[in-house]
Amino acid sequence: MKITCLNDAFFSRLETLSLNLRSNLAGYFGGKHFVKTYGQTVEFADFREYQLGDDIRRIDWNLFSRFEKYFLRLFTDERQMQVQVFLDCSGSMGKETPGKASYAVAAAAALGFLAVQSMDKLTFRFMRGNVSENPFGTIVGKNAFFRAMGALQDLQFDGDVDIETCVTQVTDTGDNNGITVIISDFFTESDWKKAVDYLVYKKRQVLLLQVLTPDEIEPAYDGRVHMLDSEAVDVSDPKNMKLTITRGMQKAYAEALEEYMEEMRAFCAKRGVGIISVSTERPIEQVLFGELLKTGIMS
Amino acid sequence: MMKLLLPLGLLGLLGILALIIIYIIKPNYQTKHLSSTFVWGLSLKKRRRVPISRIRNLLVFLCQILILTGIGLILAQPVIFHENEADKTDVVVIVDCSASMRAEWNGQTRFERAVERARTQCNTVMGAGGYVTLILANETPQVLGSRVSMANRSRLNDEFRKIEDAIDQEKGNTDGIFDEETRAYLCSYGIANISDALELSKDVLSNNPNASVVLYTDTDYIAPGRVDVINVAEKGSADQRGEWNAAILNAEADLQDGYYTLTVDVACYGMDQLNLGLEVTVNNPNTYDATETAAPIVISTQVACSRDREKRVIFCVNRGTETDATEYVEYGTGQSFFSYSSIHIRVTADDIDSYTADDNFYLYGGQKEVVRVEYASTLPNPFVNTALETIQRALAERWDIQITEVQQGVAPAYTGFDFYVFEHFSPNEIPVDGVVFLLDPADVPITTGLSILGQKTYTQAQFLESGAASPVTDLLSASLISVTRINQMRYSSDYEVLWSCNTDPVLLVRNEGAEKLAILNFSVHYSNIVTLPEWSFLWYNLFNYFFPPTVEGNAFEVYKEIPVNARGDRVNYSGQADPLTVFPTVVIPTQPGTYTFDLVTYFGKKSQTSVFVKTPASESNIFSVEDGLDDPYGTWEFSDSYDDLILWFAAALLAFLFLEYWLQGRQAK
Repeated sequence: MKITCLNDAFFSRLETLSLNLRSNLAGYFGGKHFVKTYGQTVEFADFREYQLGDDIRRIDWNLFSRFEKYFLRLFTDERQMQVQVFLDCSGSMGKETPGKASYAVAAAAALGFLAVQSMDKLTFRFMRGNVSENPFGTIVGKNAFFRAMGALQDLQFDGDVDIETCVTQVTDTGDNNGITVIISDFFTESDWKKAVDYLVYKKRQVLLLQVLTPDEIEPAYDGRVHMLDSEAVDVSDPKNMKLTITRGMQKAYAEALEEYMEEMRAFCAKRGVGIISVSTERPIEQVLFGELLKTGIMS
Repeated sequence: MMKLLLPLGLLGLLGILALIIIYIIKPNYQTKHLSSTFVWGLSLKKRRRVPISRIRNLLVFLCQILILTGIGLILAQPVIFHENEADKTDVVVIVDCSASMRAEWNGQTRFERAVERARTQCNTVMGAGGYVTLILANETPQVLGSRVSMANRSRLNDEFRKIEDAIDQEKGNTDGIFDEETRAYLCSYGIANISDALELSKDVLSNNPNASVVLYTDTDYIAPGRVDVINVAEKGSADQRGEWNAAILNAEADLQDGYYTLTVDVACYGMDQLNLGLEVTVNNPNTYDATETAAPIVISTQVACSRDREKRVIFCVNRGTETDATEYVEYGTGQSFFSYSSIHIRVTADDIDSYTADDNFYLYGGQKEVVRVEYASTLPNPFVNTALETIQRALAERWDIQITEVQQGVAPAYTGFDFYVFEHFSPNEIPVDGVVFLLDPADVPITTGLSILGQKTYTQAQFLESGAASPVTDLLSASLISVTRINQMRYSSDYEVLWSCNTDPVLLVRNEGAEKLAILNFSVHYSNIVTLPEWSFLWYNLFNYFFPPTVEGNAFEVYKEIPVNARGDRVNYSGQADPLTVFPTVVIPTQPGTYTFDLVTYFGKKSQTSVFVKTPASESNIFSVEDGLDDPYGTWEFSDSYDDLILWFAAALLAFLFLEYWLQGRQAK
């Protein structure tokens, strides 16, 4: 697989953007994300009355002269977040559709770039089977990021994936300290909803990025078709199907897809989880500077 | 049962094989590598709600098979053959009912023999499981039973019983009067219409062209065609004499030189030589009136006849030159006659011949009815007399017209005449016992419904115009007749204006019951009419119009129309209870003999006319031979009878095509 989207121009445009995470996250000290807790930044947040033990240097003397009471000036805090990108590396994501794989990798890279640009900790987790691999460890800084990008070019998409297991078995998911992005087509029998629930339980901000090819959105083929699933083990795998594709079947497909996506959206809406479905037909830039901006993930 | 006219068309069914091969070799499934079939799996769960889809595919295939089968069968021209009637025995029995079938031999007529043999044949055919159709061929052939089988044989037996009953009834009935139903089952006295009978047989032949037609007759046909002719005549043998007939074929009486010459045509059939006795009885000879009686004149002679040769016997005052076919018999002393009431001619022989219907012949018309004509004029002219004498001569065969011209100075009679002609005047009272013809009347009684307005004189001759069409002006041209003076007249609506001159009526006729009046409204002295043939024709027409003969002619044949007219309102004729009341009319005699027509004229005068009805002369030849018969099979095609099923199969094919199209459409949705 050759990544075609990841070039200097792409990243240079991303430099103008940043991840916009929820402010109630805790995160780590030393980042660039404003959080609700008060810290030592120059960004004014609030006043409060002086209490015994407070640093007297932070008393606002102007207010004292006006009210003859001691008030302290409070400032917002900036934290470092942990950005985890779970990338579905199953066959359905790229074995037969390299464009889809490139698209998914590009999206992951873009989100990763935004993370390292905000001095956040970045973790790429490639989901294969029941395992989510973390070949690059925690990436901090652009140098480490671009080294990882080099390895992403050789990323292989094959086999099946169990999103639930892959997500829930990760030990360093973290609590309330960042965003988890799952990039997949979510065309899986595994219960990815449990994975989302798990992440929500861990108080992580969650974004689901569903990548679909135009053929998956609207199949352009018809007639008697022996459909070989890219995740099928062999020809006799029940995932493979023999169908006579008619207009009726195509209509049923569209209805089924719409129902499935609606179900995903309803599920995510209930849990405050962001979800974006994108077609690989659309340029990646349009998605990043359009859809992600609209959802508020980026700013 | 369905059959195929063109079985090779079934090769079209190879299309089914081709279809199956196409289904086998057609690309099974195109392989498509997909990233995921996950959504297809979901969509299938939706499609599972319509389990008929698999059946639909099967139905489409079935439709295609049926369509190909339909095409193959249409190519093979499927038909449904009717039950093969041709294999069954089907006989049309026609029994000749002509008069010659009445020829009797050993106490049994040919007709009886024919019926007996026909009945035997019918029973045989029905016993063998066949069908029988029985047709009686008389003047108007009738089907007594059509395609009767053993199952409904009683129908035919009833008909045969009716024939036998009618024959028995005829033998016990001497006056020959039968009801219509009985007569329908009897042998006729006329000519049989065999052609129409064969035409009726076509109804059977249309169902079964192989049906046989059997004709029981006494006529030999040289070329009977496919009709099986069974001759029931008994021609006899060297040991036994067969049927024979001595016949009077025709007879006529002509008035020559004041006396009647009697011509009689006779013939002998079935015997080589025969000395035929011929006896003529002239009743009431040489009388002047029907009321007179006189002793009959009887003339007998022997005529040597040979087989099948007609011979003419002429009874006359002066014999002519005899030939082989003509024989003269001179009247003896007191045997010549100038009038007669009737002449009875009969043939006699040592033995009674087989066919007796032609042994007697009657001649009538030897005494003419008297018509008395009176002509009275204030200025007599010869033109009227000439016209009257002309019709007297012209109608001498029909009427004895006696003309009385009233001399000038003598009062005319207003009663006792049948036809009054008054010229230049009219009586105060119009005679009520005859027809009145007013010529140029100066005045007319008011009771006539006429009134003279005056005379109208023209400086130039005026030509007449025709009015209503009438037998009186038949063949007359009014436009040739010119007048220079007429009587202007007012007339009632009872009159018919036949001629007019510048809207003034000049010839009027009234003919209502006993009121019979004709008016010629101008003087012959002021017209050119007497120089034209129209003058005589007018009188002739007037006479025929007011004096129509009851029956014109005195000899007719059975089944030939007798035209009947009347000078009264009803005519009774022999053998019929109901009188004739509508005239002119015709009477169709069904049996030979004397028919007498009696009437009372509108003026109360009785009149009787007798005519003789004879059997057709051709029927007297009881061994006649004819060329051939109309072939009932002639125009019939011996083709198989079947109903074409192509339309039905084409309809089914269309239905399957539509069904397949619909199923394909449903599949595509």
